[in-house]
Amino acid sequence: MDLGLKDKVALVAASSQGLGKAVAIGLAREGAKLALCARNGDVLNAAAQQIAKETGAEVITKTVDVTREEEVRHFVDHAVAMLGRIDICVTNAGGPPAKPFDATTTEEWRRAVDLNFMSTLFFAQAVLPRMRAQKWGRFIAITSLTVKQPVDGLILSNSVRAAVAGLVKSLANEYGAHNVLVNNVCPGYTATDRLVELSSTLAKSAGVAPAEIEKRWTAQIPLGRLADPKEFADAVVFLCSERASYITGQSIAIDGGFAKGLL
Amino acid sequence: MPFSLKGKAALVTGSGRGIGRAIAMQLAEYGASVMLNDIDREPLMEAGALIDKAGGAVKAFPGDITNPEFPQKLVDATVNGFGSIDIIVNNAGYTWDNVIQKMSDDQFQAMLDIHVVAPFRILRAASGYIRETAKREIAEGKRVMRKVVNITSVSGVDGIAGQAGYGSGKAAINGLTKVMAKEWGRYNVNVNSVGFGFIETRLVQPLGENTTIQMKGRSIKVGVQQAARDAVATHCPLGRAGTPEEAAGAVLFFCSPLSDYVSGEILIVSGGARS
Repeated sequence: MDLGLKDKVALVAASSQGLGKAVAIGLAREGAKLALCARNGDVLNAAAQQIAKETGAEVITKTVDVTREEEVRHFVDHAVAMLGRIDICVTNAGGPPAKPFDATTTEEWRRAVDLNFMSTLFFAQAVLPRMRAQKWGRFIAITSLTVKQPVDGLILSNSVRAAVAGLVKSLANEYGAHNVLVNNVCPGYTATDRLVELSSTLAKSAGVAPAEIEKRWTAQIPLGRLADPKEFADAVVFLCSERASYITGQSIAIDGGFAKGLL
Repeated sequence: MPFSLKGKAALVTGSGRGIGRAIAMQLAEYGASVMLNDIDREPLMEAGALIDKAGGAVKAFPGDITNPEFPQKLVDATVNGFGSIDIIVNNAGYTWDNVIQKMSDDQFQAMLDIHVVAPFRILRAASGYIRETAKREIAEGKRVMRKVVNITSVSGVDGIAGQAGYGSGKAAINGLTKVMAKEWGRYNVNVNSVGFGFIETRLVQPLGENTTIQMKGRSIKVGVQQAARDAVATHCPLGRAGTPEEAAGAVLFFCSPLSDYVSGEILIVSGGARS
């Protein structure tokens, strides 16, 4: 299947590692040009060099804090100036800390909103007018399976990511007429550094070994294992592609069957 | 800072690396918006990132200026992207050397194509904008100077053995400089050449097995014999090679208001070395 991604320009946020990097590699393999950003410039540049070397893709990078509106706007402007256009935008950011409600401060709530909601909004503000003008666009928000089914101990993610899902669905309605498709992808338990961090945090608070936490997770997953980041990326790459041209406004879980709801 | 290029839009060909990159960075540093162009995308994106990081206004339009259709697209992208084109630096170039008995037709023609035919097409592509804009400005009683800098070489004015093609192309561009200085004087355009001597770029790296550049799928040997590199110490009055930044300085002068009454000139930047 030709995904029709050759020479499309894709912006992938928080792409120096983990899910963002996996998506970037997936898009590069299909011939897309990449604009990547992350907070840590050294890790980002190493990732960009690796991707360019492995795939031959054209890659530009910029150190960006996605919670800062002006930095996001400047990054998007720079990407357009250097690569000519933006066809695809995949938003992503680190996850908020895992904490019970009574241990979570107001400041942490605000930070979670900035990190996971406002960052998505800033990218939408910067890229959607351009996509509307060119009558082609793919805007994909990476959130979490918590959108499908709240996870104990992740109240910040459970709450704030749901707001992103609301934003995505609304944008899909407003931009559908302009051939700009907006979707939300909900990774489940995927073998990334972030997950290792999460398992050790949860293990510490539960007084068990991290392996025990991982066992508890996989016990709830019909496929009986964690996802490889590449499996997540494959789904995102498809949604970014020409072949996903009638899919918009969806929250699609790539969770091995974890979410127990019917839809 | 004796001048500012704020509000000026500049096009610099071959600005991914070497002297072209240094020219683009200096123009941006002095406030110009810069359209970068190079046939090699990777260094071009790097140059763009550097200028962006330094706070400059930059865009990129990669591609091969020897493709006959390309120069008009490049000029249009500059005008559409920045709203004007005020400075053109015809910098893109490379060496493909051989003594005459070993120089193929393709090789000789390639040196003319990149060093004089492409600059000709770029200036012709910009002529519509430049004439119309200048006529309007003059009718409004304004004198707005625009700048063309064509990059030549000591090879084009003094001759260097092994460079029948390169030297001919670099001599021919000076003809274009002289003609356009006369044709475009009435439109307030300064047209000048800057010719380089021994400047540290990949073209004069120490000659070795792997000192090649890739040009349109062809591997072309570049570099200079160590003995010739060493000779700079004695042959050049300043006793050393120049840096890309030093080379760019002379181009910046011709892009600036400091040169508003200089046109049709050839300025050699060689540390004093002439043969």
